[in-house]
Amino acid sequence: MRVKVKFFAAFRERFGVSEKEIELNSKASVRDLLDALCDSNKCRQELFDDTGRIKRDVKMLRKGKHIQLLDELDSELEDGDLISMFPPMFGG
Amino acid sequence: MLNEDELTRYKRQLAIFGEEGQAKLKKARVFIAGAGGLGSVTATYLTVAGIGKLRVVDNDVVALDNLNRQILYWDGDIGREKLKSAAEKLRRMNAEVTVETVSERIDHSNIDDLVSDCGLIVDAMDNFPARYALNRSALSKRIPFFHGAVHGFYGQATTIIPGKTSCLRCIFPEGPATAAPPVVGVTPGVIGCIQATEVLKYIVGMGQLLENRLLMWDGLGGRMDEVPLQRNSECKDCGDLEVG
Repeated sequence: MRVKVKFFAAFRERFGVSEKEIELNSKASVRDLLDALCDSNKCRQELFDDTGRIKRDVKMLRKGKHIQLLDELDSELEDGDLISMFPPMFGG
Repeated sequence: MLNEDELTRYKRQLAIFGEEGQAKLKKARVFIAGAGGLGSVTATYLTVAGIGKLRVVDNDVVALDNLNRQILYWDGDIGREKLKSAAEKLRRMNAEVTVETVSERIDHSNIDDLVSDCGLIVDAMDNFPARYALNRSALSKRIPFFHGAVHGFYGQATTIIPGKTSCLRCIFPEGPATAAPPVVGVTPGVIGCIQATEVLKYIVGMGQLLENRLLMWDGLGGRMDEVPLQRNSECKDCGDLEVG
């Protein structure tokens, strides 16, 4: 299946593109997607904490819903999904 | 009804809003949470647009390192209470507008009383715990909540309609670790103007609001984009709220 990832703010700078289409196996999860996106340990350290959870400053929405309110890294993906990745902004 | 001065003052926007729309602005009571970068901009544009009453809440004092972005404060204001300085400027901009100020630190325990009879909440805070308090208050009162936040050259904004759109907690179940973020003054300028635009559209009933859309401003790239949002029944703040 193919999913589209859109990167915003610091993630656009991190990945160097505003969006990317990724080919994944059927029944792939968010974890599989991040494995496909991250090609280095440095990248993994930026996205995951020491316990293997996604960092709280990495916001990911699948079809408009935050993965923390789905099944986090185990959230299943479907063909054609749109994933948005952005950092939380809190300045005023 | 609008008086003669108001008909002249608002002449250029009466062509858009009509006297009926302008009268709606005059009747509106808007709560602005925070008088910093976003608060300076939203309060300024809502004042000149002719909102009837603004209630601005903050408890800070003007510091030199505020002046790159908090445009209601000038060199001579350093050390003054922000609210005194802000109210003075806003009243001088438009004496038709009632500017109320409340010197409090916003949290869950006082937010409902602070919002009181205001019909709209503008998020001009600089931290997520206070934003979650605003979110909860907007949900419980079922009044719209206009979110904005900035970081460096980046900014975001969305309009939350309780029972209809995703709430702040749906989008951000967990706030970020806090530290003073870098901010270029133009960024709260852009985002504050977007928030004020949303407020005016909501009150007058024009256009499409940023409902279920998180607008993302990238000042470095010079582009705007949006993240589609959906209400989440698993959200601990709005999951139980009846569809409105």
